Amino acid sequence: MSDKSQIYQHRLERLTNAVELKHGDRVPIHSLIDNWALFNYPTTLKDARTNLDLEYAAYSKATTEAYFDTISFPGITMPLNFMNSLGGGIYSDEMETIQIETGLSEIMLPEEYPKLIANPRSFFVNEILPRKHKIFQSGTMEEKYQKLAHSLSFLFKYFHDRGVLVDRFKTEQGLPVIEAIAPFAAGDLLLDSLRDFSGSINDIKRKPKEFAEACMAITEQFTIPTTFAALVQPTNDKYLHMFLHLPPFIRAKDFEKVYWPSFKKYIETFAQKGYKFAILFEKNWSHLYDYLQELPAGCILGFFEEDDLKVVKAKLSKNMCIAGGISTNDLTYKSPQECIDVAKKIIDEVAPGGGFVFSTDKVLLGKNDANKECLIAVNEFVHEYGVYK
Amino acid sequence: MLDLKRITELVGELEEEQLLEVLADFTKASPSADEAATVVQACQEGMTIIGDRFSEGEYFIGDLVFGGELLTNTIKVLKPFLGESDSTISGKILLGTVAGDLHDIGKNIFRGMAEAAGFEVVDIGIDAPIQAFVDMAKEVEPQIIGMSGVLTLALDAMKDTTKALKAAGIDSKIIIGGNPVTQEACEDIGADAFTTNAAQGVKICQGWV
Repeated sequence: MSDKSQIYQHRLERLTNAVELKHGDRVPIHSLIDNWALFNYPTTLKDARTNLDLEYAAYSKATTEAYFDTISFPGITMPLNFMNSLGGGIYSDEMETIQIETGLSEIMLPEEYPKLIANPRSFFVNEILPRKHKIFQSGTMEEKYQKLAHSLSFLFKYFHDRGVLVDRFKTEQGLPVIEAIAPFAAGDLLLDSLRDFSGSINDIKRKPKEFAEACMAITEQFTIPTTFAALVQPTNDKYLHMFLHLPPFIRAKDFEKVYWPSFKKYIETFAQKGYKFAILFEKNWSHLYDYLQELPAGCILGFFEEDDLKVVKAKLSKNMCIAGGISTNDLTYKSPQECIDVAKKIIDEVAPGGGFVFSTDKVLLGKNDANKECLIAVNEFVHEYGVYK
Repeated sequence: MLDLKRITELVGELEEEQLLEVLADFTKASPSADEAATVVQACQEGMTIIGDRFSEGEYFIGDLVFGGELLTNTIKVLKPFLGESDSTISGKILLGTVAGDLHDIGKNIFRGMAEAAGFEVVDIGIDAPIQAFVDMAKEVEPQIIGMSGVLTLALDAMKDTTKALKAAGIDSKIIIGGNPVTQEACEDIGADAFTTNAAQGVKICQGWV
């Protein structure tokens, strides 16, 4: 076994122990670095997305300057060339970050729930795609298929390139990249891609039963089979990486009705088969801990953004491995020593007993998300200090 | 006789169906402009309840958004009866999401609550260039300028915009709002106040006029 291969296995074992709620040798340090790597290198989104070596150079620079045991992303996280080839959609990459412009994703009408519930796949293919992408809006069926085939070549190249990047991180750095795929929870799919924020909120208030039924139909008929097709077998270095958007914005009683049943079903379906999850619980989830306590134990790496990690650990440590610890605000505005003080306090309070992974509170996107010197200092400190005796 | 307290409660409880029934009965009797204005006032008081419940942690952002929707629909129903009556303006706010940021949910929530509190809001939209803030501030002379943003890249744009506004001699109070704003960011940017809570932001603005 090569040195890098041994390092890879050792780092992976460190993470696996934490996620399975066992005691490891150290607190694992995990990277949520995304577009920040491009500012740090420095290069641009436009250049990096057309030059795989440059993309690797930028992302690997960021994740080797500071110490990490594992990372979420090997490079740019959206197939931008594919999406642009479809003739646009809801994403914009004009700002050197990838953003959904509010208002562009209200593609479905509120009265279309029955159609969606009856057959989500057919509804997406026949109703939504033509509204969303220009290549489906004109020409004969044959011409549309030709344009789609051309676009898919960009998608296949994107997936191929992700594989190349993941392999380079493994063989050149001994660094596990854990995101296998990033499935949407059904409630977030409705929010991000079909009804937008205001539309989703209005539906949750006015037609909660239909919203909930749509979430379950999407989960059972679309998301579950798609996930099985994309990741046939579970392995310890491949996580289903989810980013949960909607729940922090709604009350617990609304969450229980519209979001929770289908989300729980998705998690339980894959947990039973041995899959692992990395889940970003965005913003604050303190009103929803009672629900999260019902999730299966030992398979979830849960990143918390605005919650008090000490409270999260007390409430959820029997279910999931807690991840977080340093905010982008601290990494930007505090001194390296002040950041180290924050990290020490978190480790003293949350790491004992295992089941903890140190990371930033958010995905690092813009250049203001971290001062590099602080990130390097903090991770070096955690690597040395976060030892289980 | 119309129960204004009930209307305030229905808005505060986000009971859209019942509210629309009450309003339908009210408008059947062809109310005067003054009567319609008192109903708008009762709805605005309901928005204050929503804001207070949000600040207390009982309501969430979704409730604020739906409250804004209720108020907009209520005013649509009442508009034919409102006439051109002079409503009291608390103050004028120039509002926008700063350059490089395409998000508008937080900005729109703040706008809805500020309007409900009696402010006139001039909204210059998302991804608003520095010069757009400066030009519009010269034109409308707001007491307050609100800058919104979701991404941390918005912090740079807020700083540059604040600098340009001050360089142009504009002395409006500046409030920044959104996910990335903090005390440290506020000081660095040179704004007068910051908030991550729209209801709180409106209260800060009320304290300035």
